[in-house]
Amino acid sequence: MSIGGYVSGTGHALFVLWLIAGWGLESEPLPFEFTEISVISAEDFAALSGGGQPDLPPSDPPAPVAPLPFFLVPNTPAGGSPPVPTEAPQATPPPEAETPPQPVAPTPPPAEVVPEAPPAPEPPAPFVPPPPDPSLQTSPRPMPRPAPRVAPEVVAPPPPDAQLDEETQEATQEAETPDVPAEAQEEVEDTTAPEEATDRIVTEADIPASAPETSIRPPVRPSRPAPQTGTDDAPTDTAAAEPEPDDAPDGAPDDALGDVLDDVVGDIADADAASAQPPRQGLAGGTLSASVLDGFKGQIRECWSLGSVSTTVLATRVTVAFSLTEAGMVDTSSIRMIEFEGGSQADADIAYRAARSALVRCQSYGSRSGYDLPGDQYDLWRNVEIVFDPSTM
Amino acid sequence: MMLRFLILLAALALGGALAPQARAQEPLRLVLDNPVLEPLPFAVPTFIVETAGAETLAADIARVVAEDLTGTGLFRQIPQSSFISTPATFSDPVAFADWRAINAQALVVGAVTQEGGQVAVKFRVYDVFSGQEMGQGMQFAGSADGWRRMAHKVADEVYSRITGETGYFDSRVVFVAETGPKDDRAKRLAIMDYDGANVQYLTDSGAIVLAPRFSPQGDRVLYTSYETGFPRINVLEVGSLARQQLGTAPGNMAFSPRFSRDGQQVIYSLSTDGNTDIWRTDLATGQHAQLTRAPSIETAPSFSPDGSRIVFESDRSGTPQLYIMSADGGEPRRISSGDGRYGTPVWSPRGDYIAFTKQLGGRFHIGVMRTDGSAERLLTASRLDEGPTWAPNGRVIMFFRETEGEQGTASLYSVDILRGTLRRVPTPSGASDPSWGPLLR
Repeated sequence: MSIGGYVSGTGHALFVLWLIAGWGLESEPLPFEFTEISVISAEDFAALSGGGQPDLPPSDPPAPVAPLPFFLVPNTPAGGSPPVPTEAPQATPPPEAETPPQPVAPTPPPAEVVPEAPPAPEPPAPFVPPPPDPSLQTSPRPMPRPAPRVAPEVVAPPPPDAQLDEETQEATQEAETPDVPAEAQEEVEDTTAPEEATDRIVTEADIPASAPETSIRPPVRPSRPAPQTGTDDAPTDTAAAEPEPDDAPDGAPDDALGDVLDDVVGDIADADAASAQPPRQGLAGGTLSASVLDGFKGQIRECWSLGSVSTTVLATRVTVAFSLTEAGMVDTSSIRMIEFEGGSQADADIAYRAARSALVRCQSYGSRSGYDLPGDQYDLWRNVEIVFDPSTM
Repeated sequence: MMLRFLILLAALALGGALAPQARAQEPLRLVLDNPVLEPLPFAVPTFIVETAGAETLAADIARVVAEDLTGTGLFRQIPQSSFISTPATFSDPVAFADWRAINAQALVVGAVTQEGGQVAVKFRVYDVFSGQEMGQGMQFAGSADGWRRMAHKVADEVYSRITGETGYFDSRVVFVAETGPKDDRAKRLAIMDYDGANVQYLTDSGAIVLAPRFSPQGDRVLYTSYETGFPRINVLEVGSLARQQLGTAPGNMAFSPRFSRDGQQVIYSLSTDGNTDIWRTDLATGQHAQLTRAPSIETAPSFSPDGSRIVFESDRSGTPQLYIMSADGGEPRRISSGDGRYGTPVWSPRGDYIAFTKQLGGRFHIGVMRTDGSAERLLTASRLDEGPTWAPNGRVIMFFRETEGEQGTASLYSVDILRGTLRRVPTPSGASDPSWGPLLR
């Protein structure tokens, strides 16, 4: 056997031993699996664990209930319930046996405490019928609001409409004594309502906004002149033909950038022009008409009730964003409060809750199934932001 | 330079590609104002019975909670006959669709456990249309005799979570209970829950008593008594019924007392030599201070919540009007400016309004105005409305109204200053001069 054979044999033997010993055969560690973990607040956790329960079918297992805070309520508050004045407290004489026409027990036992028999359900505390004064009448319906634009004084009714006389009468001459003296005519003019007054309460919602709700699309950029030749000098020539900016430090790169910018602006304008003309464009063109906007707001206002909130909530404006489907239904997952002003976070939360409830409830109000909006202008009302502003009440 | 150019080119190209979509998704922006002010419809199913024997209690607690909320005028209860489903257990998932179908916007689910003489009440409040819970669940425990307080506590929590302001249901009112005809009317102090329940009497009818005033802590009551033949101010401990005459400055008559917010001082009217001025007495030191010095009648003082100012009634201008001065006296500033006669001003616990009585055109009104006299609003009108007192949350005023005639009686009413909702407070007999105590703890 040659030396090479010994060397080869020894090497192979060492290799076999190395394999048997298993040196270096540790498998590589498996790659870690990373899972995104979001940190949630205690409120969110509580809502998940016991609070915000999904609308599950009754057969679903009940959601785990978070432990409730526990408060002890003493039967008698601080200071205690007063003892029955059957005996004289200190030096005062004991209470006399009351013999009034209306017998009053010294300590009328609360009837509700009687445990022997379940008391009949007491009728709710009677509400007092509203007194005759209109200012005292209470009504669950919305109350008329102050009308700053209504004339502060009673205005005389307008004169009756002129009736055509069947008989033709001769025209009177100007020289004759007028039927109504000049002073009286002036009085009639005084009784008319001031110019700024009106016979109805005009709210902001009734006045079409002077500013357009959506911006007017820019016109299509005029076509650029076609290059005269296909040579590389053509752009330079075209750029040179156009007025050069005064502050251009050096010409060639900025000219190229200017062309690029022009192209991009042109593309945007073209795309906007295309998007501003939907396939089924309505009569109103690219904007929603004032009547449509008023109608939309009126549909939401029907359900936007703040009759059970605090005065500070009534002074809080919240801006709520949401998306609508083509059927006019609110995508409830898209409803969110963007901003608020005029109150605390707690006030804003309550104001937002009322706004959200209004959006969800009124989309199915009455026989309505989705907000009544022009379907051919869906792109204009797909996404909505509404400022709910009760401060004008 | 070339790299910069390429980056700019790519950015502009990307912007150009995305711009049309961004423009198309620009939201429609609207401003909505003038909301409606309708009571919020809510549902309170009978509280779930978790231990046998608590059926009556569960029904009663749910009923009181509903009555508390409905009585504010801010809520409208949906009758149980309209319910599609009710939770069988406290941990059952809420079938929001069933509650949406009957237009319930808020849902109160509660459960009652009764073991021996101890009762535990737990509840949750849900916003039906968002399908979320308002706040977290809560439970109260106490003796069975105190079930009404637990119900009021639950109602206070529900009220607070929906409206954003504290409730006033777990509170008490001290008032003058009246019996007999007008010319021989017996009057004695009484105390009751805010809703007229649990009436108990604090004094007998041996002497005429007037104008009780709760201390801000609810442990004492000031009132004017004619035991000596002249009006004198007494202090009564609610817990023990111990009472003593307040040591005022020397004078013929002392009346119209009221505590400071810390309960350490009393301001009142003192009549000496035919002139009535406002005085202050420190309960700890017994020192007196004269706050007004005018030949006119100054009366009905009331501290501002921070104790820095006093509103009172004075006829120095010829007719009774409302004035504000520093708590240490000084030159007062008139705040009432309308026609009529103003009286009995009371500063709101919030500090934002002053309630008053106004006599105008042969009628009495309870009204409110800002502390500078602006935004005056009259809330009631009748032959005789008097004695306004604020609820602990500054949202509701209680007062008394007296009917005409020999057999005319006085009754207690409450009115919401925002909505004007008027409600009669039931009492077993005639009632006047209410004073609303603090929210109990």
